[in-house]
Amino acid sequence: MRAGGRNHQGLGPMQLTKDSSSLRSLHALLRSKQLIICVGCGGVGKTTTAAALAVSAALLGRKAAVLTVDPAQRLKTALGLDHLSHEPHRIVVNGSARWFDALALDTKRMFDELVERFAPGPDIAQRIFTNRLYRELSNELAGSAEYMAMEKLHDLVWGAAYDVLVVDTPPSAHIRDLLAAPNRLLTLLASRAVRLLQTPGVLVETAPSRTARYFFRVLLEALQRWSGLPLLKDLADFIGGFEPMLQRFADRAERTSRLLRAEHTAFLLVTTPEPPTLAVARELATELRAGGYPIAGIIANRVHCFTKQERLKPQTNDPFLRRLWNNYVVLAERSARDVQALWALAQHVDLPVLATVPMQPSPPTSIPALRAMARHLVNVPNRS
Amino acid sequence: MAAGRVIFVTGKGGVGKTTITAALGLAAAGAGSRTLMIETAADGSLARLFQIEKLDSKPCWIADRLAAVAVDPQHLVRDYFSRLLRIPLLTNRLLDSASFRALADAAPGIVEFLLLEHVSTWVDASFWQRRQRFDLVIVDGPASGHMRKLLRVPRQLLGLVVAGPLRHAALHLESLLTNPDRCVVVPVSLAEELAVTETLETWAVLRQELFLPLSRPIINRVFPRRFSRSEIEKIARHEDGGPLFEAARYAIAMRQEAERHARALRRGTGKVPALVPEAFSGVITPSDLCRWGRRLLAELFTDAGWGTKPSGSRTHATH
Repeated sequence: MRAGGRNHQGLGPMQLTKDSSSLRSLHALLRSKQLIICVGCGGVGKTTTAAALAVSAALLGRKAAVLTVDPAQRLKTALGLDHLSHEPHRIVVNGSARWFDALALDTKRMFDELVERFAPGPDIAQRIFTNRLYRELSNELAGSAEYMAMEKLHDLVWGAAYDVLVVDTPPSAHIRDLLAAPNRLLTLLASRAVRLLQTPGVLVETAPSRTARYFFRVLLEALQRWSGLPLLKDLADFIGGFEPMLQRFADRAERTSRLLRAEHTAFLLVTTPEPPTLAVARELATELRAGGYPIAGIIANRVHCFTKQERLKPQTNDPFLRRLWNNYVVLAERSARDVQALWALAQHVDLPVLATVPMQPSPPTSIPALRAMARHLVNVPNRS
Repeated sequence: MAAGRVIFVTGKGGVGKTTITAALGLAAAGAGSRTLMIETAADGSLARLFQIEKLDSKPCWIADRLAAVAVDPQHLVRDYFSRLLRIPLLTNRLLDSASFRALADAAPGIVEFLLLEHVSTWVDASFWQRRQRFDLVIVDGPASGHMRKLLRVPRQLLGLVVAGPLRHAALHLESLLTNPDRCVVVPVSLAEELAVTETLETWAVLRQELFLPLSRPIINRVFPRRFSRSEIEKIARHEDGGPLFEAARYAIAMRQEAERHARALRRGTGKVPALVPEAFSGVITPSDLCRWGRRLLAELFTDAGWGTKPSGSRTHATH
């Protein structure tokens, strides 16, 4: 009965991976990599997985940090904290020697810090800070959360003394929105659109013919009427304010982009065995490969782990035993489907399943619970 | 003809917004409303659910009175500006310029604004004549964080834009969104801590900050009740009864967890959540969807005064 009792504790990597090398490899990853990025569909437990990976790394004796860029602050809940901010919050895992830092990205503050750091003078920084659009929207400008996530990464990897940094990613529809965010925003800031907004006449003057000039004038008037003048002017002002800093922003973006493809970086594909999230995982794997980003493997989360054993079938017609059996069969069949679906994913994307975390009635919301989850990720000793 | 109604389905990523959208769509169409489902995610999940290769900007008829479209941000921008400018040469010139594309890509709120504008064109009586009209539009919305942003756009625009057609459009959208006879946001949750927390946060923002009409929350994929109270006690007494008891304990814990979350949602929203059961077979059939949808329509909208037929002869609601 002992083996049966263990059943729900997790099938570990059984059935999905042939030997224990994969178990060792997540272990090895946490020991050797500097940057581990968890990607996956929204709601698969990326944040919790990232937190459990940080716990594992800490238990392995590494100086670890986990960064969440999720505005919903799930990391806070997973860690059982009341408060989590932009500044590192030290969390002791086991004794004084085993700890990790947790941080939550604050898009607005990160943006402010960067502007302060890079503005050629305080007057220019002030001009940006007082811009109505910047105040309202630096949080929400398309891609700014993603951009600032990458900027924070840059700071943490180059600025702070961590052995390994685990990051969960925002629930972007496409990973390229995240990874290309710095370039996308910079392209906009450097584009002709900026000059155009500042001096709309440019478009008219450079038009190829007189007719075209006429059309452009009509068009510009229509656009300005449509938007209401102050909006257009604010936008021009906002973007114009960034001009003197563009080169330094661009340099950082370039370095960050190289960091993401570096040898010491690993992407982990987090997924549940649900068909929609598996579909997203397949797409993510393809996109990451196409972009040249190093994917280390799959972490399967919330997997049902009951194996059907016919010998347990009750021999009597006792209705209670029947009900127990029926419940068991439903869960066992579900488990078989989960394993099958994960196996199909692994085959399709040609990646190993590095860990299987069993479905729990409630997700971890404390350090001990995260340690229990960490045991499914890596075989860390439970003692210090 | 009476103006149509709009349902925004929202929730944390992975809660099953698309399933709920489809269930509501099938049920509403079955009850006689011309219904349009709008897919906003680029992942094609609504199309997949109905086994359609791909949805596009033209309504694709799925069943009697039930159609679906997908919105593509690029297309929205092009569509809006060609309607605004009305001169094809100009429009193309503008839209093809790299500067314009870069701007439209990153400009704050443009896509969100256009999405709302797009939704309203399907239900507004004779707003754009050339379009088909629907009694009910169900928006398979983005995840709640993004949804809050989306639904806040008209209000934000009103703060930024002091005059002109853009302000006019923002006023129009704001009046549609805040009208409980025409619009409702359906929050979908799971029986999980994080999903419930996010639902309550969204509830607070939409209700207390934006004053939007909300239906009672839905909890999707609720674990069914498998054992009676006396059986639960019996199972608890068998400390190590083997895999059968292990599985039973798991089922009981899952159900208790679901009930606990339902109570939390009820406390937080003041409304009794509607429960949709977990489909253990792994396959959701159209008849499952229809059954859930009918129940949800009845449960969600009787208190909103919408009835099960969300449009048609009713011309005015009084409350």
